[in-house]
Amino acid sequence: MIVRPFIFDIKRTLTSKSVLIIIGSILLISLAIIPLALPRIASVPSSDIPSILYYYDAGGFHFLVFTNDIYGNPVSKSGIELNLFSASNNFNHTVQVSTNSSGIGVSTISAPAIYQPENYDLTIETFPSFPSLEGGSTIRVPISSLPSGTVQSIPGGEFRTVTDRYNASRRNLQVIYSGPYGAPPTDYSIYYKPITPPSVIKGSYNESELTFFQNLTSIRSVYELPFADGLNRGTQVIFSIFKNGNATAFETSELSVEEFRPQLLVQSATSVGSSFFAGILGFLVPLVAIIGSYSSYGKDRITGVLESILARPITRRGLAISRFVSTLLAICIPTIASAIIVDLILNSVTGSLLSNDYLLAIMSGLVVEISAFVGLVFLLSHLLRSTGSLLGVSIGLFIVLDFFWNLIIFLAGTLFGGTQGSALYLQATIISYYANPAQFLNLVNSYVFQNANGLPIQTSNYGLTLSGLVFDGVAWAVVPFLAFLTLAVKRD
Amino acid sequence: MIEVRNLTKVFSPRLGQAISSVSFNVENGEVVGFVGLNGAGKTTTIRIAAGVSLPTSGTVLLDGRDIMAEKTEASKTIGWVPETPNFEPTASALDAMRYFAGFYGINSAEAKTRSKELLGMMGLTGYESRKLRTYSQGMKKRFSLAVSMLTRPQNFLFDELLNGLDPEAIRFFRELTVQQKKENRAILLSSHILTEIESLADRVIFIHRGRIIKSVRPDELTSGVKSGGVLRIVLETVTDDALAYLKTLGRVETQRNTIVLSDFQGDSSQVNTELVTRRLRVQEIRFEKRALEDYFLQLIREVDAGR
Repeated sequence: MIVRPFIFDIKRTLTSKSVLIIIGSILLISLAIIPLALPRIASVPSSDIPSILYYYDAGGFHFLVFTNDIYGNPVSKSGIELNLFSASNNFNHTVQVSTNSSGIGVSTISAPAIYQPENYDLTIETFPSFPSLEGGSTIRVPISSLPSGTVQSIPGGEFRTVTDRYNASRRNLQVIYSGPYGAPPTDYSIYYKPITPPSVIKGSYNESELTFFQNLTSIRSVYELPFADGLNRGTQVIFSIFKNGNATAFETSELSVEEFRPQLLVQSATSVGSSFFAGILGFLVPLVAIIGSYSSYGKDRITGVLESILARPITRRGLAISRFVSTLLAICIPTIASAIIVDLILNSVTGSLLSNDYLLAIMSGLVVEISAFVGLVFLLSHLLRSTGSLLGVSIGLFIVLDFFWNLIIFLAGTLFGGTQGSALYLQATIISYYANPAQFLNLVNSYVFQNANGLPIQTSNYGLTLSGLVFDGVAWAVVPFLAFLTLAVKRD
Repeated sequence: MIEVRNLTKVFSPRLGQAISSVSFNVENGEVVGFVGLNGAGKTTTIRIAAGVSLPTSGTVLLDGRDIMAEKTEASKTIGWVPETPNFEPTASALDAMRYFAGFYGINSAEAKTRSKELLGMMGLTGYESRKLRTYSQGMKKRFSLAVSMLTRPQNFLFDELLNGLDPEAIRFFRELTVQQKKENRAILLSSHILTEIESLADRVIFIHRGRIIKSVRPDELTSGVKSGGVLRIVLETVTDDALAYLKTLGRVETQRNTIVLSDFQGDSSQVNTELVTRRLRVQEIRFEKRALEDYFLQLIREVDAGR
């Protein structure tokens, strides 16, 4: 008997203008996964270790440290620690270098000359700019005291590919080299030679065997690579620096042709999907739930439209449950449809579906968020007296819980002397998410991927466990609804 | 049959009891007028009887079924027209009626036929597909009346139904009420238009400050009540001489050249003669008997005086 009004309620909720607009938006937004999921051009990763030139003179080793971003732009204030060690000479000295606005840091370590076959061990350690759970990078290379003033490069630093700053699909060549005693390289040229298999790379090449590329004019230069497009896959390119009139190369390096070409990164469905669900769908769903609940129940309850239904053969409890369930279904169905659409799009673009477990977890999380917000708006409609205040308080709730929650946690953390990035701060943030239905999907994502704020963590160490998640989900799905039901049945 | 038993309603402790131990019956085949000042408790009583408001204590039985404990069954026997009908504004009249019909188990085809028939009966033919938000207050009242008759219930609760209705609709309602009474239905009718209640009701229940103060039959309205009527006189020119004379006959109020003489118990033709003798040109003289109104106001005065 109650089936017809129940269907009418669902139809009515689904066809209300505001909900239709939002449902349309959600379905459209699910299409936004397409550009997100398409293979991306991989950026040249910025090296953890800076380019370092050094030379020795009577005073000791002089180090020139160069730091740059993925485009070859200088990076200032990078911290590098250099340690020079020699067991045979009982020598151990450490200096810290910081780069200036030109991305250059200079340091000298006074040390006695040492001749091959003995070497100093140079340990280079970089510091992360932001405290993370991981440390910086460290490498150790042998260096020797060569004839005074002769510049050497720490391997891998003199020739590097960087992303063209105007066209991310192009790669350029960054060259860092100096003349004796760190002077500008005014009398040096770069030569190159592509070596395609089955040809093999020799130990060294004369100038006559290579092709002229550029004259060096400054210590740090970036050059376009016009010849790179015509090279076959698997080709290695030899780059050498010659002093003009000198047939022997001062520096030689080989780079794979793949480094000159943009690589397409096929992203994993789970990675793109999780960003989409937590960042976009999980963010919008509370707003949909608020507007849907306001339109299907809150407005009718406050304006008295519900009384025209309550005069029919239906109990208060029956009407309350019918409206709640129909609103829930009206919002859950398109939201879940959106999740399925996203999964299908991800499958067609990345070739893999989201795992069933993850999809189920996400759908459960979405249902919890929707149920919580529908229950809260239904509950508020029994506590507030005007449609304006109901809508205002509901939207305010959305803004606080969805937009400003992390800011609130930050301010509260600062007030109590917490440090952002610390383990305690992370734990407090996660625990605060339990109290916020808008962040439930974030909790699900964190638990599934054992990751928070991009950092891999063991969530149980921070208070996020499966039982806690299930309890929180059930509580948010049920408690607001039960509170609303109590008021709907017991109060006018 | 409608049995109201010891109904008490407290909206908030600060405001006290909106109605207090209200009890009365409306028998089958009886039209009962429910009369009271604004805020007396008429609407509160009717809303509880309709099942849309909860009593603090007491209950209402509709054909023996408790509106609280047996809400679904009891609601099937009631047709309620609220003072201010409020329906889903974006639904069309026909859709809303079919929606309501679903609660009574009426199938779609029958609901459509019956809805069209009722809307036609209420003068809403041609407006069936219009959204209810476009309806005027009078049309909403008619629509509400149509909805209340969807299942031909045994009992009717009409709360200020006549407010906002045009004369044609009032006449229709009057005929409808008589028809329903003939069909042995119980009708509780509250209205500020006391002349309609006087002409339709088999019994009048007076409520004041949340309490039932009297229940009388129309023929009892004039007995024991020292009441007259109102004499309305329109003169070409109102003079001091005329006013001095009329004040000897009752309470006088003047509006331009119209004089309203309340509590008048004399002979209107004699007044006319007397005024003409005084060389006054009488344009209109009309006597109105207001038994229910007088009875009601006197009752209120007595109750308030005895408090």
